[in-house]
Amino acid sequence: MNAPVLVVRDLTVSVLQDRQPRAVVDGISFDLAEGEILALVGESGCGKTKTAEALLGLVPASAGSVSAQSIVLGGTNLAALPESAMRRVRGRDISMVFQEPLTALDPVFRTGHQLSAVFRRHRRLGRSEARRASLEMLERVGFADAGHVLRSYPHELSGGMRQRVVIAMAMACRPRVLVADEPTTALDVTTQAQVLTRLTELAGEAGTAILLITHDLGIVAHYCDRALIMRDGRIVEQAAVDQLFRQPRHPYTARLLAAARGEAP
Amino acid sequence: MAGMATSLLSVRDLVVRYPGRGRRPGEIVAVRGVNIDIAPATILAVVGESGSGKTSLARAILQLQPIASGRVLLSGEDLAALSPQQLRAARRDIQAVFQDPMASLSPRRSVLQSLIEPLDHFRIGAAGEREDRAVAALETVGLDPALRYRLPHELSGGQRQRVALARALVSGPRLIIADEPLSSLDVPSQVRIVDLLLELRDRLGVAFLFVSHDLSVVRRLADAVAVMYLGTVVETAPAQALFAAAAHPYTRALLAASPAPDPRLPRPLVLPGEPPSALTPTAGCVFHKRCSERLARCAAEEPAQSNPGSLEPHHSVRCFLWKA
Amino acid sequence: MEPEGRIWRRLREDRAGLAGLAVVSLFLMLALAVWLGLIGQDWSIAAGGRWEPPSPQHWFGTNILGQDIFQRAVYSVRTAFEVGLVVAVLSTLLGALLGALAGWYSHGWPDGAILWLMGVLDSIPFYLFVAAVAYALQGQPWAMHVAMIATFWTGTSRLVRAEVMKLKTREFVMAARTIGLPDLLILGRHVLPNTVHILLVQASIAFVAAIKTEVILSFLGLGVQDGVSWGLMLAESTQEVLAGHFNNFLAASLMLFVLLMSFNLLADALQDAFDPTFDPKQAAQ
Repeated sequence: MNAPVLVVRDLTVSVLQDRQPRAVVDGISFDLAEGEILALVGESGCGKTKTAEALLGLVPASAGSVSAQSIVLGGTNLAALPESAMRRVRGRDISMVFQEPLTALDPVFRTGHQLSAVFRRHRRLGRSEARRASLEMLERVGFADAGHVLRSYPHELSGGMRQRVVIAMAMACRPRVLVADEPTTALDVTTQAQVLTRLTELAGEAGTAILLITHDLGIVAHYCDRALIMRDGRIVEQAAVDQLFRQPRHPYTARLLAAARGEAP
Repeated sequence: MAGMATSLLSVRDLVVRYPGRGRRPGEIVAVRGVNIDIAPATILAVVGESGSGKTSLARAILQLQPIASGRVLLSGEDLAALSPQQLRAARRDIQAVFQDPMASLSPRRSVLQSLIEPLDHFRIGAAGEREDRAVAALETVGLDPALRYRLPHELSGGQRQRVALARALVSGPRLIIADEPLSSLDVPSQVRIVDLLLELRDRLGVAFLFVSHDLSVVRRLADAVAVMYLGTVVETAPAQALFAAAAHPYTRALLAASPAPDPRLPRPLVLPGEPPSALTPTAGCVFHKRCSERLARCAAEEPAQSNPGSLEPHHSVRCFLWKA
Repeated sequence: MEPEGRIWRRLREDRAGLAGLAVVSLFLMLALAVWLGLIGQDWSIAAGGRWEPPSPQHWFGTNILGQDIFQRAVYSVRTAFEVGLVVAVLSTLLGALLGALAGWYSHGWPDGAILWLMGVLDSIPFYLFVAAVAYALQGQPWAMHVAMIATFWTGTSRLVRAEVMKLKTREFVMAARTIGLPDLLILGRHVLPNTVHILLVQASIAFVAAIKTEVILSFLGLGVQDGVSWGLMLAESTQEVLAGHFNNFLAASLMLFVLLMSFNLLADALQDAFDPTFDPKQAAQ
């Protein structure tokens, strides 16, 4: 395993439920190695999405409180950063791809405009340079007619196309870490194969590590190096993928595998 | 394919069109001449991706969507030719469960109210005993009758979908059209509902038309499978035959793209090209543009549905590679 | 627990709403008492001298004509409720009905016709319209009610139309059609009840707007004809205030403010209580 690019220690997110604080993420710790694809697996409600949001500092105070001993990304502790500093980090060093391609893009702006905005903000490129960079990025996510996509509005594109645009935006600055929260759940299976293949290729070229959040063990089996199994806010098992499928150590993992294979839970 | 005489549901040459509107002046043909048969107490899965027309097909069968041409025969009777009263009576026999149980249950009606509504409408049983029938339906789907006063948002996703199923069952239908009923549920809930559907088929003799894009579920559930692409059924087969030896290149691509939960198996293959758009009609075979095995004639002519000798008896495919 | 009990329980947990409810109920009882002839009947007689200060006989004093301000203020409660309720209920119902039809048959001719009507009514300056209606109805006491109902309904209608257009594509409507229920039944039983939160808000806006509009109309002489209202009192008081006498003004404005404020609090609480997905405990954090 390479040197870790992201080190998370004791991350907790608690929300108020019935006026009592409840830890939806309960003191988890893990490392993400450079260039690795790490799966974060669990059923709905296990806290995986909140974990992702907490890493990017996207949990508003009204939704819950986040505390961590450390979230170290390449030497900087994200947990200790004020929002203004976090804004610089987001998109450039760590970025996120969300589940719902329909709402991830602003419907009133063309995709080219939105993609260029990333380049102009973080890489300080001028308008035409940003446009060139956007075109190139769209080609790299597999669009045959990148110019057409650049000029299109989000609603003119299919779900898979939108998701690839979002990936282009997330990877534009070659971040060190990409957090992908169920990026293909809303897509067809053939589109899913296309999107995940492109995503892992791009990440490989750029040296980006991916934290891939999913409930689909098939995706874990074929696209990920290691996996974290999460349940009720805690990590119950961590293992390399081969090991996990061959010999799961925790009974919960075994249950998930059985359900995925269609056996009665 | 089961003969028409024994079929519970027969769809013949069904065409569904949506008129163009505003910026899309051309009309969209969502379903182009589909033929399917469902035998009593069997589960037919209709599989396809977005743009395949499977949802339009389901709605047209339910008479919720106008049919441009073709016939839908329930036990030999053409549903479109029925009078409103006859259609109303026929609806008892063919019910539906939809994808999003939160959206398919009326948000302000309790479970009991939602279950009693079809009973009242079809005038099933004496008014006093309808609540008992509703409770019986709840028990059939494995829910505690104490839940009957709850509102939809007070139930979990799996519970809501069971209520939707109970509502579909309460009028005693012989066929239930299920349009992606598992898509909004998590995997363990999906497994339980699949078991429930199988039990309903075996115990109550209910047939299902199960529309889905999820092949792993279909593998466990279906007796027969019809694969759709861009409004056309490209292949129909008994489930085992389809998964063991798929004939159509699209079916094979679909199976190859699905990631199985086993890292030792080969990685999913990517099907090149963009998903189909019904806005730009294609000449020839609907799939030829993305087909890795296409022949010259595939771009010019559309293949007919055939059951070549090299395949099993009920296994039909629309592909020039399999000309009988 | 039955759905109705649920709404009541929610309401009980909202303090501001309860306060609003209490005050509005109090005012409502005053209005009923006036209507039944129990109090506030002496609003028109000149019971005392001009501009008398508050006294045991005249709690708020008297106005320029020697009429008891308190009596007039209390009678105005009845006027306010009458105008407010009639306009609120009828304009909201009318708007709901037309909006639902327009939304259900959207892009068809009923929709086109109703939208056209809405456009026409919204283009006419309100006070011109009211004056025209008042003139046409030649001083009938309900001229202003008709004018208000005829213009207030468009706002509700527009909102209901949009909501119905959204709801009719929802799967529960499809489920109802699968059973074979007729369209209008689906509209009435499944769709419209899901617009109740909109209707409540619109009704409360209309109630408040009606009362405030009446004030302005009274200034223009087009308001209440056969009684007294706060609007009329305020109109009278403009002259009095210049002469340094504020009792009339204060009485009317204070009562007006308290009623409208309480009503708004109650309406907010009601809207939350009716929303099936709203969790009051979660919102309180």
